[in-house]
Amino acid sequence: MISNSVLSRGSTFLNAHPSAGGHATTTQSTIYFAGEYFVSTTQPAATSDVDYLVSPLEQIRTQINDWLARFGSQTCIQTEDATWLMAPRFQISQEFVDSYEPVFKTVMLYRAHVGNWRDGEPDVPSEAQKSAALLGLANMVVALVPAPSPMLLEDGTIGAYWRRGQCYASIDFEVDGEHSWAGTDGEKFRSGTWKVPGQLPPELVNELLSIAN
Amino acid sequence: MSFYDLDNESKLTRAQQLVAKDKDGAKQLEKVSEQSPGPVSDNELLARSLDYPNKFTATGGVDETLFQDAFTHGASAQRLIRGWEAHATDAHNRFEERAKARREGTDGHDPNLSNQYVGAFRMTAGELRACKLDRDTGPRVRVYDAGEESDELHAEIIVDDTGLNRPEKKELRVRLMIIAQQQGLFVSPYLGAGDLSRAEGTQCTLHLGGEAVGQFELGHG
Repeated sequence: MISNSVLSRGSTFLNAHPSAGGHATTTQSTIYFAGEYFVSTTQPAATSDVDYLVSPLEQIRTQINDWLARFGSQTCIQTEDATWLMAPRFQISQEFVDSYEPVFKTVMLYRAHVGNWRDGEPDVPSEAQKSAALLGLANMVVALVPAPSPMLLEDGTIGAYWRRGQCYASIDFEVDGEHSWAGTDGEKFRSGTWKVPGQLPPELVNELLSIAN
Repeated sequence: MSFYDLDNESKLTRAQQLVAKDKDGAKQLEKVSEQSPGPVSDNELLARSLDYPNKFTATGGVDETLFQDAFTHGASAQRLIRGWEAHATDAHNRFEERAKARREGTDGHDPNLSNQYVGAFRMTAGELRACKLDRDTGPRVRVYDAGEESDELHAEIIVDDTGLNRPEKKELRVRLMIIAQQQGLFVSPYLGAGDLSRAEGTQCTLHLGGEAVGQFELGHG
């Protein structure tokens, strides 16, 4: 089951994508969102209650917004000058969550083995690999990261990537919660690990901001 | 015994076995395939195909999985010994024939009706061989001649990922993809106008009928 866990901190993209949240009052380019991350209660073998036969996106949106409603009053925004503000309770807009629909759908299709899988092509993701991807993506939604495109690695690991011209960043959602990431502007290359639960690595945030802006 | 004769019972991947047989990569300077015209020189141009579907991505596009088989089985490439202009038609035809065989199920597998050859990326063997991480002191990428009876200009790209952790392997995949897309995508002449979005999704400079038609920036994806 998707649930919330330890308090951790990560950058948001509220300013880059005002439609995503639309509730931030600061005009600074960088703010920190003192929130929580979705993690499995049984990491690393993550599981999910998402029933794709019903409506995975609706379930995920409901779970995220329920979670935000529960913790909204405890949510703070920390600005760069370390002033703490109480954040208003907010829900992630339907429009923003809907922007994730293609990637969530694709994850389900990967797992459902829809299409014509062939020898030499990537393994069908396991249930754990699917759940790792869903949890990772749910964390991205909460962090208001723009929706990525999906990709599938040979061993069944599901990844996600963002691209704008030569700028490229991607994450592999690993079942152990240690998600490898890499990014480039076409000249410089960076890579590392995003451990969930835990904040998005600042280097990755920078890569994503360079793509979003 | 051929360089490509490997132990089918081995737990190592094909790429790992080839690296183990050629630890320093010196075999790249030798002709390792009987059917090939010789080893692949650094300044030789190679073509690598981009196919669709890339597993349900609606718009196509390209990501770092372009070269992921170089880490496991070996990534196929087409040698363009006499340059792109001399080989373009043949390269496009070969890539399209393979896609057609996949669509029709004449390649020994079930038909995959949606398979499409979108276009070719090209790069030199030297660019691939120079691809490594900042901390690497030695080369990571090999390019071997791998001619076959049906295709004497077949080449194989093999990555030596010895000692790399997951993020480092990932970065290497990204570096290879960036090399491939630098010269843009040479769009398949078989790609219908209605499927051009598959090529546009790469956000690369597109070469249509020998002309570059600009770089597409369509946002993420």
